[in-house]
Amino acid sequence: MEALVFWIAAAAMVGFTLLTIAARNPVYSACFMILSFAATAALFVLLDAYLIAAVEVLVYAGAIMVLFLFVIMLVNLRESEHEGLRLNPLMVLAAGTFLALMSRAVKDLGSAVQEAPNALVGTPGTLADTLFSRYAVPFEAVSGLLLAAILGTVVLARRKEDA
Amino acid sequence: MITVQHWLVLSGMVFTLGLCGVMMRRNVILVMMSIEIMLNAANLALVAFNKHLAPVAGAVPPDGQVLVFFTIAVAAAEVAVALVIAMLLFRRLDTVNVDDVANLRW
Amino acid sequence: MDLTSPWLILLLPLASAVLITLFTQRWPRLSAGLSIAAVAGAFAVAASHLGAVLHGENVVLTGHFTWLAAGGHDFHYGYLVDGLSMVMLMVVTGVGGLIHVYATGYMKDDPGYARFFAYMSLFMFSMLGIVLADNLFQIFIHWELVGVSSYLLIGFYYRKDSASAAANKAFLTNRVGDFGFMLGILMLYFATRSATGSAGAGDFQAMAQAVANPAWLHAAVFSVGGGHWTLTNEHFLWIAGALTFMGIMGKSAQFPLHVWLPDAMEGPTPVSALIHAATMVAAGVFLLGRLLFIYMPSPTALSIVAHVGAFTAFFAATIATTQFDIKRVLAFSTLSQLGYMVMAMGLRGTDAAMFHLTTHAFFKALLFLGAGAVIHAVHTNDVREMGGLIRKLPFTGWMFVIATLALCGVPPLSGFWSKDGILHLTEHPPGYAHTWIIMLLPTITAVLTSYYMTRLVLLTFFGPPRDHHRYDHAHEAPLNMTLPMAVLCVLSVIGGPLLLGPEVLEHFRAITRPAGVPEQHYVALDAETALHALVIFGLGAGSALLAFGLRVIDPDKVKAALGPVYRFIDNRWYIDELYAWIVKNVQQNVARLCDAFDRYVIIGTVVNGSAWTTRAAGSVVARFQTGSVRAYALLFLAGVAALLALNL
Repeated sequence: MEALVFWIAAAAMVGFTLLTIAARNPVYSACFMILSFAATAALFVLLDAYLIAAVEVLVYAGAIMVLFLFVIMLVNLRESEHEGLRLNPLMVLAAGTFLALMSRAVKDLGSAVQEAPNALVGTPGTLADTLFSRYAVPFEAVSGLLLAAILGTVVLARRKEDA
Repeated sequence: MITVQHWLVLSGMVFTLGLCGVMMRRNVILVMMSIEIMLNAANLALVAFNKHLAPVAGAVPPDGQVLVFFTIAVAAAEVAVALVIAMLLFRRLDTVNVDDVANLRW
Repeated sequence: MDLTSPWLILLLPLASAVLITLFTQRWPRLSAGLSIAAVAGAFAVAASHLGAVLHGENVVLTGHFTWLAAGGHDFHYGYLVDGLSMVMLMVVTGVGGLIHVYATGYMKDDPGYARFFAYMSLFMFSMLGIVLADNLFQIFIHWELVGVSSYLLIGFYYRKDSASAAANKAFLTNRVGDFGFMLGILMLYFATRSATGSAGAGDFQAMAQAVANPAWLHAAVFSVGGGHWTLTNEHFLWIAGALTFMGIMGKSAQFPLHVWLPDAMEGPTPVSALIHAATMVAAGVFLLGRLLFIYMPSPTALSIVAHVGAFTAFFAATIATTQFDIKRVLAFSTLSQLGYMVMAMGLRGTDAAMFHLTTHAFFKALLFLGAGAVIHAVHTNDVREMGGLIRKLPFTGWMFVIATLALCGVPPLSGFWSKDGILHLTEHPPGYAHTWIIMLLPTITAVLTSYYMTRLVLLTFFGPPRDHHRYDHAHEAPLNMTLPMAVLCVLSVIGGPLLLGPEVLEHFRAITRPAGVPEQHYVALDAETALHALVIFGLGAGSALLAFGLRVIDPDKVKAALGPVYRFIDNRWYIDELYAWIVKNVQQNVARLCDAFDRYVIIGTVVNGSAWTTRAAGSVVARFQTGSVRAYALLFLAGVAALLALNL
């Protein structure tokens, strides 16, 4: 059962990602990406990371992708400007080599890694315990980063004549 | 039996697809979406490691999952700023093609 | 701080120089007062230790601090008060103080009055540093400081081209000597260091102990250019000694580095008296005495020193006979007397040399001060425009005459005792110096000395006045100029047995004679010695009197008869011309060669070459900067893949 879910979700994730990068119309790309993220959320559930799964759907598939869609609509490319993957043999070769090397590296992990006996369940409670104790300072730093991003965005997005 | 290798290869495949998107798409928005895909693949690897590389005895710390939180937060900030830059680019040069933006060359 | 601490001797003049330069430039009188007070203070501090020296203590006081410690090398700054330095201290501060007082009169109304006293204080600090130094590096530092103050004072009238040229000449000539000096110091330092392993190997006491040990150099093997060179002690010492002697030749103006001293007379006359007659030029003689333990084991080194000294004495005396500039005659006379002292050092007569140094400081300073008073009165240096001045400046005139007699060695004036002490040495020279240069030239020089000094006195003070305008306006110098002259005159007269009698002289000779120097016979005022001295004086003075006083012989006829010889001497043996030729033909060509090397090899190949390489490399690397984000991503990926591949 677990294996079945894994194979289906994995296939969906890879497939939708492929469609995302290959689609000619950016709007389609964004939609396929949302689906890809949904498959990812399912995989997170399989890894007992429930909170992460929820955040994936809410933040990535919800907020960030909406942002992307907005910009795509704003830019509003003409049909003639749509184009898909521009396959370049050198780049394909490089990507293929990279994937092969990664897989080769993973293979050696072997039996050194096994599933932890006492299962970790990523509920809000367990994550919060760690996040607000050991990672309190990075957490605050990230809030500062987000604030800076907000301000930067506002400043950048203002039109020249408003200044 | 699904082992950590399965997860990692899956993560690697998605990451490579993201890479291909960065390299082979010329639309700046698609390039950014590909970057998000790569980040997402890394998130998957982090959570998988959190499950499989945990200490054998004692309570498992959710460090990997916490790290994913931070990644998502940073990605959100990055997307916000990057999208504004894309907008400005479009406003100024009337293009979203990264190949048209090559002023930083010798 | 202890009021008798030798540090004060150094600090007082330094403080005065700094204070005058920074604060009191606008009050000339105050500046002069500060400067004189500093010298007087230094004199008092030095005098407070005189008793101990006279009681026969060899080393009275030492002390130092380390100003630089680097990698097992300790460089000290300190003081060493013993008989030798005590003599110099008394001479430098005593004569120096008198000349300071004199200068308040001589420099009156000069716009650079305060500046002058700042320089004088700086000089006193530098000179006393040499005298008190307890190690070679401190000597070198102060050696250069003395050079700087000498430079500043020679070029005091810096608006005069000849003065700045003379200052440069003095500085550059000393550079030549100091080059060898530095090499000599380093040789001695490293040899002593490797022999004793001591960190403060530049100290004289450590060095003397090392040299006293016959095996000292066996530990010292020099590696030069990859090869190992072993020198015997004797060879090492004479090479090091000869190099060190180069510095001494520069500062004490010995042939062939003497050329700067006559030109140095461009400075104010008190400077000529203090620096270029009484003290600074004697620093070389003093240093020879300090380092005699290096020369002692090596007859070759001693022989070099003795011969250079004897030749300089003769050489300078011949030139002095032809000069018409009152200060130049005195300058060449100084050269000649310094030659005597250096020669005496070379003959291991430290005590005789130091004694002559002391008395010479008295009467040569007096001669210069007298010359200064004359110049002050008639505003010219040329004796051909003087004559008969004894009627206008009786006091100065008689002072000058007494100093002349002292210089000529007429008994029982001070010069007789010291000069005959040196001449006595040459009568029985040690084996290594048994040559005609040592045996004959000093005596001839003594005759020449009497001749040119008598000639100078006759031309300046006697006979009819040759320039009536200048003669009529001449007037005696004020009290602050005559008073120091009077004191110096007393010293010149009774300085022979050193004020208090023969036993003090005996003490003096004992404390200035380093261990291992054979004792010399004292000069006694007996009939034979006195007759000898009088005959020498009579020969020289008599011929001068015949030519310039009684006019029995016409000097012009002699001049014509001697022809080329006279011209040769009158042109100072063409040494300056020789140097000019060397600079023009040898040095300039070497410089051109260096210039070509610099232009084509250094700049052409190395400097421009590296720039060219950088630019070429840059233009290659710049090809990767395509500006295309996608290409960057590809390169980035290739890098990561390569790293992965490397680690698998």
